[in-house]
Amino acid sequence: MKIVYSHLLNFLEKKPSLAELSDKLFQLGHEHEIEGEVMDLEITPNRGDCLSLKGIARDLNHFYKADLDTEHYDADIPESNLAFENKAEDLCPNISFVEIEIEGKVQAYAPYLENYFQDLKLNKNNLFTDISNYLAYETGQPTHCYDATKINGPLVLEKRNKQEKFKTLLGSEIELKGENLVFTINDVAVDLAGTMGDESTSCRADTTKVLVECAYFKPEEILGKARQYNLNSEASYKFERGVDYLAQEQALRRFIAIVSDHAKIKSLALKTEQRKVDRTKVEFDSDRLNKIIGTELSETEQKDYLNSLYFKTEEKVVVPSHRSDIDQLNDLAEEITRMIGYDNIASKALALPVKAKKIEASFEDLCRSYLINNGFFEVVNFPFNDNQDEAAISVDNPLDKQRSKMRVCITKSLKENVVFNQNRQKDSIKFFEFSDIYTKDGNENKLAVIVSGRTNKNFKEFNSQLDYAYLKGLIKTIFSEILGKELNFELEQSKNYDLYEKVYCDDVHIGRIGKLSKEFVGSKTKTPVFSFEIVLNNLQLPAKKQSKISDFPASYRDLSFSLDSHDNLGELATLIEKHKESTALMTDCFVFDLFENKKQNILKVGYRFKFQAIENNITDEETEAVMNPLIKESLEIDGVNIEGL
Amino acid sequence: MSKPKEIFLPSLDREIGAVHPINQVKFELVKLLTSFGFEVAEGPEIESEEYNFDMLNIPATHPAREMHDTFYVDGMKNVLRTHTSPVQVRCMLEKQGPMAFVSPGKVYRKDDDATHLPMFHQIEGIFIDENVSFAHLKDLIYKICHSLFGEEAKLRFRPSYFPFTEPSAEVDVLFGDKWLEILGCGVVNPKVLENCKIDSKKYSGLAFGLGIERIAMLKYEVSDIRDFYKSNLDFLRQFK
Repeated sequence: MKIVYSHLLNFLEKKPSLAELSDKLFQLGHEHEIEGEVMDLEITPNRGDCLSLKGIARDLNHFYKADLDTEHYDADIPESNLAFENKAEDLCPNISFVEIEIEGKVQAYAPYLENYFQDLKLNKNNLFTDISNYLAYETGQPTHCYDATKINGPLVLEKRNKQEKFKTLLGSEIELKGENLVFTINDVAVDLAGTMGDESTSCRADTTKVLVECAYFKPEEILGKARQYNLNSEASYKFERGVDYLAQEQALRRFIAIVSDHAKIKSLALKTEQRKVDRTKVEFDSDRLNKIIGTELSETEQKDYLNSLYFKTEEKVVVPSHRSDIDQLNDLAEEITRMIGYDNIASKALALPVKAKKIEASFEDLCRSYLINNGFFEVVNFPFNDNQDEAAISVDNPLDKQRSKMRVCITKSLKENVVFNQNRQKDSIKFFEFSDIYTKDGNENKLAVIVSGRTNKNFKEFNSQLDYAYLKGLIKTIFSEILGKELNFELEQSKNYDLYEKVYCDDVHIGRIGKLSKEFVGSKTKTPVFSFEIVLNNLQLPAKKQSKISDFPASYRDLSFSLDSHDNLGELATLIEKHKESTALMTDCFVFDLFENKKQNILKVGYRFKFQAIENNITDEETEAVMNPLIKESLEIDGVNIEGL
Repeated sequence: MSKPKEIFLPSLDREIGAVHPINQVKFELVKLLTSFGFEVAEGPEIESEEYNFDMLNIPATHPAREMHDTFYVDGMKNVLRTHTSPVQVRCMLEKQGPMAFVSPGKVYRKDDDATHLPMFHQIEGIFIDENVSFAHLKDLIYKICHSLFGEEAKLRFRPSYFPFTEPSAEVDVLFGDKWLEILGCGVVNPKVLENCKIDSKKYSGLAFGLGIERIAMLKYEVSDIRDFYKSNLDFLRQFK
């Protein structure tokens, strides 16, 4: 809301400098920017009462003594015989109308009215509309002006569900839909209540007889209407935030006074309906107020602050009708604190009685560290896309169609991250993301990893490409080293993958690993992309237990297997794993060499086996007792031979 | 005597990666706040309107509940949480007595422009005990801000409006000659305590919330918030 410094001073007895006033407004919570004399205030949504010169002046009363006396038309006004039916009394309990007829030439605008338009660079319209706009600026109370000669039937206020065309007084055509609170004449909407009137009944430069309506509408009834119909309405902005529910007739009497400053009034008539009259009352509790703020103010001091804000401090605190935001003691505490100044409240040492707890590392923490140490960068992606998965949760009001669904996996986001970087000539990409994924089937905490390009940028690994074996080794290492668990894999097919395996942990399907298809990746570069995505729910770190270690020397055996095809590799690995698990003496085994010559159809794999006993030196007999059956059974696999045997 | 050839060979350099800068700041804040005595609590990102709004004294008529501010899902039955405060509601409902929780996480607002994102991160804290006041809140906020920005950091408390706190404040920190808004805080509105079955005559509460992107932008001097979510390797490499 823009106000002009000099306009505000008209309503203050003391005249602070602009800088002093600015500081005080910040203290009161009215953030603002200043350009010349114009202050653009950001009034918080609960302070509809401050959306005017008088409203701000009231808030400054404690510091600069507000002078709110403006000229009003105080004489008796004859009762209007306006035919008005209020079919929405609960939504509009208080409403007043005044009919004004003027004659003769309209005088040049009085300085206060002229300055309003000049200083705020506003366009004039016609006398009545201009006064209406100024009145809202001065008092915060919106009014609506009908050209009285265009009202050719009873005026009805009603909430109705009717689809109808509506041309606003600004000329835009809208279609009213759903339930709307409207003023109607002969069943035609002529005013979208609290938001904007229509063109057919609006005032023009030659209007001499006006019907001015001034109402209190329940804020929730006005809320969102201007946005719904894409209307720019100062009135609805004020009504949404709450106006003074007792100020309607007074505002109209001020309207008349301003008219009389500019034209000769030929006739006047007034109609007022007032149903909401009870003031909010709050129990006063001086001790409790001090406890909320942390002060030791006397009851008198507290009441002085409240009185300066127009509260009546009787047995109970009577809230002024312009303060719709106050209904409890904490609200009063805030008012007192604002007057003192938040920065002037002395801090009190706070000791949290809760003892600090050490945060235990989680699987996610350890996993993150491992990945970082291996050159991976963590990314965070937005959860929205346009996937067609049946399990995807739809966003009812998406930003756009491309972001209308919640993602069902992380991999697609990571794939887009890879393409983004490939397009920027990045040739070694290792990303990971942890995220909760929400679907119709529930939510899962997931980790996804994606790789593409060179393994590392050093002279040994520059020409080595990140591939399926790299990624499979990564996920297997994470599980074996951090969780102490071995994974199982099952070959499957999927449209987005050239190669795809399901991943199992403890016989539970936890995710997938694969080589993404070129079509799915959609990158200009041909570098293959590999990813895995796993569910982390229920993965707990094992309790750390110390096992006895051996001081006796280890013994090693190496075997070089010759294989007919890659198919034999899995069977051989399973066999070796079975034998390893069957004895405590074999403490380690791993592939130390893999040689492949496709032209000569040669595939060789070298295994190293480590043997060690806890209580004694291991003997050759003990080692052979494990190795001989392993060798025998491996040779029973079709296409497997051991060189040198 | 000739030098060994090994010393002339190039070293076998291997790049390490980096935690995402937003998570780095989040972890630092969690570490700081847990050192004060707060426990960490987490909750779902898809929330009911009851937990996201009603329990927090955000009425059905509040602008925040309109379709243009909040993402609705499940046929308007649920929302993507607009703040992490629902986690605190769950904590209060579970634990009636004194408590101190922080809840870090992703939150969602229907916004997407140069300075606003549809998803961002918050960390919010709540402390409930007997006789805690606005003056205590100031002490807590000073401790947090001094830990984040140094003991010399100058703070400014301004009245603000949050339906779940009363009095409510926004806190600015002076950077050079500019006051920058850092966090929102306040005394927990007794209506919220009562909604969460906590005796508001016996207990009072303090609450605060920080936008993690905001802190990260200040800490790392990032001028465009959108850079955090482009996953550009050149950007991410700077946060090792």
